[in-house]
Amino acid sequence: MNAFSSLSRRSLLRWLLYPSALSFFLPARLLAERLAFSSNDLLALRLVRVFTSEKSARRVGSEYLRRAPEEADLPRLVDRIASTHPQRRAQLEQASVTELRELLNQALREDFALGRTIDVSGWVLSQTEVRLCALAALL
Amino acid sequence: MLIDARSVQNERTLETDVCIIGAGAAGITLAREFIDQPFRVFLLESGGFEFDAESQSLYAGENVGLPYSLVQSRLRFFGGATNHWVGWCRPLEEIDFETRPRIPHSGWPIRRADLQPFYERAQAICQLGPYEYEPEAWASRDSPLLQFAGDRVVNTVYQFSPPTRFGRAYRAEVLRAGNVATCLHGNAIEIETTETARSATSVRVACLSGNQFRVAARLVLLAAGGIENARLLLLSNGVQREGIGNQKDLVGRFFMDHPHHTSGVVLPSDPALSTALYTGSTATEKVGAHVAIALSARVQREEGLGSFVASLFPPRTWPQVSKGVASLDYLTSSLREGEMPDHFAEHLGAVVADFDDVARASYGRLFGGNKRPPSTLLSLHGRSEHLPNPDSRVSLAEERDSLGQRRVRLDWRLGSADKRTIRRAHEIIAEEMGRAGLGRVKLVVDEDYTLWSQSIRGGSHHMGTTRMHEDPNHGVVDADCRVHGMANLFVAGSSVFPTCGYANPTLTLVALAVRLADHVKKVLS
Ligand SMILES: Cc1cc2nc3c(=O)[nH]c(=O)nc-3n(C[C@H](O)[C@H](O)[C@H](O)COP(=O)(O)OP(=O)(O)OC[C@H]3O[C@@H](n4cnc5c(N)ncnc54)[C@H](O)[C@@H]3O)c2cc1C
Repeated sequence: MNAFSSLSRRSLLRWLLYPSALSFFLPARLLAERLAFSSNDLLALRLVRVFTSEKSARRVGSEYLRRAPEEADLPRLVDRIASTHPQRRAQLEQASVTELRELLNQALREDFALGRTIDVSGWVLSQTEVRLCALAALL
Repeated sequence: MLIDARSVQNERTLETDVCIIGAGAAGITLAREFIDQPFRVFLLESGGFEFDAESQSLYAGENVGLPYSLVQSRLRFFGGATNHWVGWCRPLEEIDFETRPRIPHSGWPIRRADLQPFYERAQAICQLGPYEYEPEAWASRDSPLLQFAGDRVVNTVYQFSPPTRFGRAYRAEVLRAGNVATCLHGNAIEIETTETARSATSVRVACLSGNQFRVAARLVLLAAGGIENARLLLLSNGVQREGIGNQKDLVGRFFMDHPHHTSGVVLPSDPALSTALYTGSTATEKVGAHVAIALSARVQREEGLGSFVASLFPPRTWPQVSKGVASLDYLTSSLREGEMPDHFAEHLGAVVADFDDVARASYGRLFGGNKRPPSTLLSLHGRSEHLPNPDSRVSLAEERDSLGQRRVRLDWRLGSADKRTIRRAHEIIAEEMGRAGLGRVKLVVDEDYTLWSQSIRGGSHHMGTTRMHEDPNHGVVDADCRVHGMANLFVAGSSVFPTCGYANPTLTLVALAVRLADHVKKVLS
């Protein structure tokens, strides 16, 4: 039994979001691998880092999940975000935070261009941005 | 020359060459075009130079369709509704004149190019600036245009008339004209015809004071407004029982007005987004201009939609008329005051800012960090084309006015195609705002149209009731605005529009009046 066994996977993932906490231990990626998180968990972690105000993202995400509870499934959300384009998953996994933001920005634009939108409280939002917010709410 | 109809001897017949019924934008334009022509003109007006309640009451009627005020949307005195119009002007689009395969009853017998020279003349009559409707011409570094990524929506320019009060602006000129007799307080109650009903012979006039007389004319030009034109043709049933020009039961049908609706909220990605061109009027050469966002012709053709335009305004610019709008108003006003309902829009603003580069850069520049400043919201105000619908109509009510004439009955109806245009247009605008990184849109146009139908109101633009078509089976007037089957009866005003686009009607109806005046001059020369 290791030191983290009593923590839920979710709270552990949340904890890994904070770089300052991580710096006491191992690099996040290594740590996550040791703890046997899936690649979707790891990608989720990377994705929600784009939010400067995680609280806001969580608020938008919760509103969405309240209306679409079937989407409250972290692996599925990650798969959906990563599958809008054939190379997208690989790109998202390798990108720096700046590149990540650019890639997501592109994904948002594509969503709007192709009409892939979701209504959250009447707001017409891109599927990708809503799902990213939902990830933040789930973590 | 000025005549007071009340002082004309009972049952007398006055003679003229051209009798114009109604002195609004159309009638006054016609009269001015005829000044110094070698023929006599009689400009017949129901009211006086000022508003009076008794004349105005002749406009009352029965409303059986969508909410509409027959009295407030018109003014029955010299100058007509231009005594209180707002002055928004722009020409119709090329596509508005086309026969659109997916829009039943669409297509004018003339093209936009045919109207072009008349638009330019109408521009001066409406006291507008240069005939310049390219959005780029109005933009500057300080007031840039919004840049959209695709071609589904486009920027479109309105110009503002001062607004020209036709009655006041042109009264002296018309009264001075030696060949124009202006007759006030005289109501046309019937256009009389030959026994074969092939030509008009005279106009029967009644005064509220009780006297009646006739004006015998070589040509009659009906310019009494988009509802009254139809009413008068229907009332003129002395020879043809169904009314003049109504053999095919078309007079009064296809009534259109532009549905106006406050229909959404825009959260700009960048609180510093410059919307000066959009949110008000920019004084350039003393002419106001306003840029709005319209559906492109391409997307209209591709999706079979009518035309649509939306303006961006600071919250509360438009009158609040309904529950739907009231809730929108609550949202926007509480946002302005910084106490957001559940803070949702504020949170959304922070999320959106994370993705939009311009917005992020702007926060850094303006606020020295990532923290988002208080949200500035804009309200989205849409106006759409009312698609031609034979069941949306003006007819005669049973009740009579104080002159003994049947009042008008209005049944303003919107169909499923109108609703589809409105809903889809909002979605497209929302998508294109997001795609261009300009912001996010909250729609108040709900799926089942409940809020939408509560908040909708007309623009006091009365169109379509004597529609123009080459074929008498489909229209009341021909391409020259002559009533089918009648040699010498013409109609001026927006009642001749077979379709109405999204543009306000007055510039186009003035252009058509100038064109009709040219035609009449040719006929009489
Ligand atoms: C509040 C408001 C705001 C508006 N804003 C705009 C705008 O921003 N842009 C725009 O393009 N349009 C606007 N309009 C519409 C614009 O006013 C009309 O398009 C225009 O006035 C129509 O001109 P008209 O000459 O056809 O009819 P009218 O202006 O209605 O004139 C008809 C005239 O005929 C007279 N008349 C009627 N019946 C008889 C009769 N039986 N005998 C003798 N005389 C008769 C009337 O007294 C009146 O003077 C607005 C209208 C309103 C009410």
